Amino acid sequence: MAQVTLDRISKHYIPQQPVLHDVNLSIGDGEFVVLVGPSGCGKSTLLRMLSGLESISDGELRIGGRRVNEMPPADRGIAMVFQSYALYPHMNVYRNMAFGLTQRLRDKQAIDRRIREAARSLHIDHLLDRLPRDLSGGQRQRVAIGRAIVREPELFLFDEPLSNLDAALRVHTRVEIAKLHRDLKATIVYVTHDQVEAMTLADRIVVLHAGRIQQTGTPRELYDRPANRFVATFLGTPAMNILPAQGFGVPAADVVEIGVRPEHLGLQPGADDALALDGTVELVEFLGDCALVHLRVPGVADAVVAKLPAGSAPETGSALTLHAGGACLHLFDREGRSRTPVRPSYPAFR
Amino acid sequence: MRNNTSPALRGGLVHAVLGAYTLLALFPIGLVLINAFKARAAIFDDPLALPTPGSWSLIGFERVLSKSAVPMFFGNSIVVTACSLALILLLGAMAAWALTEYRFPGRRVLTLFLAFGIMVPIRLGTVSILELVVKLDLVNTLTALVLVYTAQGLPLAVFILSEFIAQIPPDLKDAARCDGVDEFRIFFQVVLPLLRPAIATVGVFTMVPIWNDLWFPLILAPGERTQTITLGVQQFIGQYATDWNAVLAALALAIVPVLLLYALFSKQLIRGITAGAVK
Repeated sequence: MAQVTLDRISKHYIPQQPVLHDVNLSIGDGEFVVLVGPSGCGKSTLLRMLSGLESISDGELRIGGRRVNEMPPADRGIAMVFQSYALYPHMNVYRNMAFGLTQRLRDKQAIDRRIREAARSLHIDHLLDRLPRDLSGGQRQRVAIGRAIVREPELFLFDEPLSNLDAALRVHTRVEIAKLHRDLKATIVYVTHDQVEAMTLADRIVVLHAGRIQQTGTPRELYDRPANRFVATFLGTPAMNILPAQGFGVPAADVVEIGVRPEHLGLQPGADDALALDGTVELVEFLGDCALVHLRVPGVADAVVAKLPAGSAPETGSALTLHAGGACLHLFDREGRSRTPVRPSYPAFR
Repeated sequence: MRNNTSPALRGGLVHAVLGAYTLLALFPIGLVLINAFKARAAIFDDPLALPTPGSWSLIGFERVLSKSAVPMFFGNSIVVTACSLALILLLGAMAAWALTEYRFPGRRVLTLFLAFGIMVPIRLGTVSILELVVKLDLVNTLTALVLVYTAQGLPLAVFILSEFIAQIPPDLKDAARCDGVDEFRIFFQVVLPLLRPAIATVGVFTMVPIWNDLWFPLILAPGERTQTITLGVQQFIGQYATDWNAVLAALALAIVPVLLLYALFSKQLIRGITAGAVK
């Protein structure tokens, strides 16, 4: 297990056109870090740079205290799980797991022991003779993880490992990966574009956008105190509503936009009522326990979405006023930076 | 409606055209095969008739096999074809891998140079090849033939295999590299097994012209001991009398290895080996 330090890491394919800018990140021993961001934000590139499959243009990468910039992937003590699983199609599960090991370990018995142990813990010990094409998606995923485990790496790298699984299996495997992290106490860097995966798995989330780190922190911190407009709207479904500060009361001079999460909008004004939105109900989406109400508010470009208890959902076309308390408003300046004052508490749900 | 012909009708048409072509292509082979089993008189009486108990004769095969040289001709053909094929497939796959996988200066020029080899028939260079072979003192050796055929087959092999290699998911190579597998092992143990269908295709495409070639054996290796079967058959064709039974029997025998190899390879052709590699 190891500490990983990224010191001003940059990447450019064409000079002067970097795809990653001065990434600084310190990953603690045994920490589960999730890199999250929209497509093309550079998260996979960053992961491939950690693995050594992609060269580092600038900056220094240290794994376990050693500088590894020039080190080939095999010597870095990493294991990578690929989105496509990347199982060797002509080798059975056992050989898939053994293939990389035979390169490093001479002791056949030790290899065998490691493989059987990993297979048992992942419940794939009955599949060792099968070829990848005879396995289901979830089983292939386990084999891919097993192949990483047997290497006993200092650092696990996961590249969107769940995106090829169906919804039910994804939830299941997500739990498995969380357990795996707990059991192995391994340092894990995990890339995903799925914010639910990021929120549920991570000790710490790194939000990337346009090649820069937007914010680093625990899921709670990022959700409650987003550092900027991008992080605020990226995390949370449905996304945070953004309103122009003009016309809805300007709390401070340099605030141009106000953000409010759908679950913080309610029908009744609270004690610290700071925002009232009048509009017409455009659409009501019934989700079972709650309903998403889309409200067309004059002066706001997009419909404002509110998450209301299913019982209190209004009729489509009716007029409605939504209220939000001052403690749940997010304030953004012209550059999109957060101007939200530090608050002792942030309501989880209205 | 832009396309109002029924699928059944179109399918029927396609099959009719393909069937007609198959008949056309098989006709000479069929003719050789039926007449190889007939007596000399029957060949000339009615070349299109199937052998009957009355016209049945194995005299051609007897004559071919009793002539001690014919098995040797066969041997020569097999050695030349097998060696050329092995060299073409191995070197072709390696070159294709290098040209597709690695970025190095001169890569484009090299690719173009090889593409040029597909466009220009090697026979245009016969005179220079002969001079070269004479200088190397390789006249009347099977080595000369193997070298020439390897050169002849490589461009197409590299071209086809490059296309297939480009389709191998890059994650597989990355996974192997993460595992610390060296480039040679990646090539021989990951890439090459995945290329089997492609190699079968290239094998069939390159083998047939080599086996059937008359030109280079005639020019480079016409000696008694180095004749290939296609050249060897010619000795039954005389200026005044041709032993048709022997010619047809020898040709019929010459078809067999090609058919066998095709049957062997075509299984590989159809097999989708990459199924299950990535989702």
